[in-house]
Amino acid sequence: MADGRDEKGRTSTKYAAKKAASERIAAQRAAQQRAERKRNLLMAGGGVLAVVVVIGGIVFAGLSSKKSTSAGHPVVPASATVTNAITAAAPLTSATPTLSTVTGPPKALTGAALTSTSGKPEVLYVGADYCPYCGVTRWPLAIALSRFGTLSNLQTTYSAANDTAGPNTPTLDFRNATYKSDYIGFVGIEYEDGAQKVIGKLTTEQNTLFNNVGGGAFPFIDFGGKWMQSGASYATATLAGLTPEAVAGQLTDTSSKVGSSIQASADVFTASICDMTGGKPTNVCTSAGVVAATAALASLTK
Amino acid sequence: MPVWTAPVCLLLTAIGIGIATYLTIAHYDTHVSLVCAAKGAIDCQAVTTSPQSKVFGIPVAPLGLAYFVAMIPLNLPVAWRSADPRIKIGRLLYGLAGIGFVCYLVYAEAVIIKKICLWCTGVHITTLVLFVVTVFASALAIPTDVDVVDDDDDEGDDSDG
Repeated sequence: MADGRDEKGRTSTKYAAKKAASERIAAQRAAQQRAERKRNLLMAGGGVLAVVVVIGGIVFAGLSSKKSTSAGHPVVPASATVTNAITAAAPLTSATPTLSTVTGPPKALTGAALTSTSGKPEVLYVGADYCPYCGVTRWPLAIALSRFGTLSNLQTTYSAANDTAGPNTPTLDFRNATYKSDYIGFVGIEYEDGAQKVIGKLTTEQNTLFNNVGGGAFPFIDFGGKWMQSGASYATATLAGLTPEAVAGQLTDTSSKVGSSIQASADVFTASICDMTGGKPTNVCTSAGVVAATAALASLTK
Repeated sequence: MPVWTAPVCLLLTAIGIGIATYLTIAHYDTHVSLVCAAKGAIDCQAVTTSPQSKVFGIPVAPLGLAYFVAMIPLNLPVAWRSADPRIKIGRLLYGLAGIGFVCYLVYAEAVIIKKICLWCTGVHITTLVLFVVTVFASALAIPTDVDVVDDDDDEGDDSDG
């Protein structure tokens, strides 16, 4: 019979032996599978552990070598060459600003504007001396601010030598800068020095803006709650190998890569400030470069 | 193979595609900047614009995107159910290649550039977790055709003689 019983319902010896053998084989197979599974899991665990150890070793090596941080470049009062060049560059706006060189253009904001103690809408800058993105961005900001008032007590320095994003970028420093304007206020905070030591202090309001709106990234510029600049406004490589005086020498030369990049950014920043002031002063806000930059900004909000 | 393998792998692949797409857009569109802090060792822009952001002239961001897109067919339920060893081994080798590339990128960030890109780290972690899941799921998938050596195989038939 198919179930291994004879006509009297007795289990045949042959069937019982066969069944026992197949059960033995099944048990042996199950044990072998368990052993194989265990071996596979051990191999998998070993492989994964090896990968994690390799990645961990790389990160550890990177962190260990990072201990040798740069001491930072000295911060010195800006030379007459630099301050005079900024003053001379302020009235200029390129007739055809090369807006294509402007990276990370300002983003429109809808938050409340910070106001200076005099009640004027405020431009807030938060940066750091070691930061090369801040290094390139301070130049056009200084020119843009100079179109609305007088920026004094500027200093010069370089970004950190060990920052591969733009080592030794020649730049200005706003930590002691003062600003007088009939239209706007300006607060320039260098939050960290060239050795990444905290030297600046943010108010609760500024800190909220910097972290919540700017994402805690240097540089951060809040144009009166209307526009925000986060990150470099043009490529850090533009100023590679130059001194502050060499940059100053090209500020008024809009045919140069340095001059055109800085002027284009300055025009965009100026357009952002004009949005704060309601288009005042007219001679600044209606100049060709600023009008073009205003149109470019407007296209970003569409 | 655990039943959760394919859904989990596809979810991780989707996460990888999402982040890699964002990095790719930010790479090609200068008007799109990465939402990323630039304080201390954290600096996405420094990493994504570094010389190491390209391999043999090809930007790393679209390479990562292509990697995850190619992961889709390998992680479909039908692929995980397949007994074809080429798929199983191919998936493991592909995952291993991804991990090798991640090791290079982590080395580039930690040792050469000395800056960390948080979005890139997201891709690295996704690749690592995907690899770990793939390895363990593959280890748990016991082949059904285990070759059992049975010394007593003939005894059952002959014992009753």
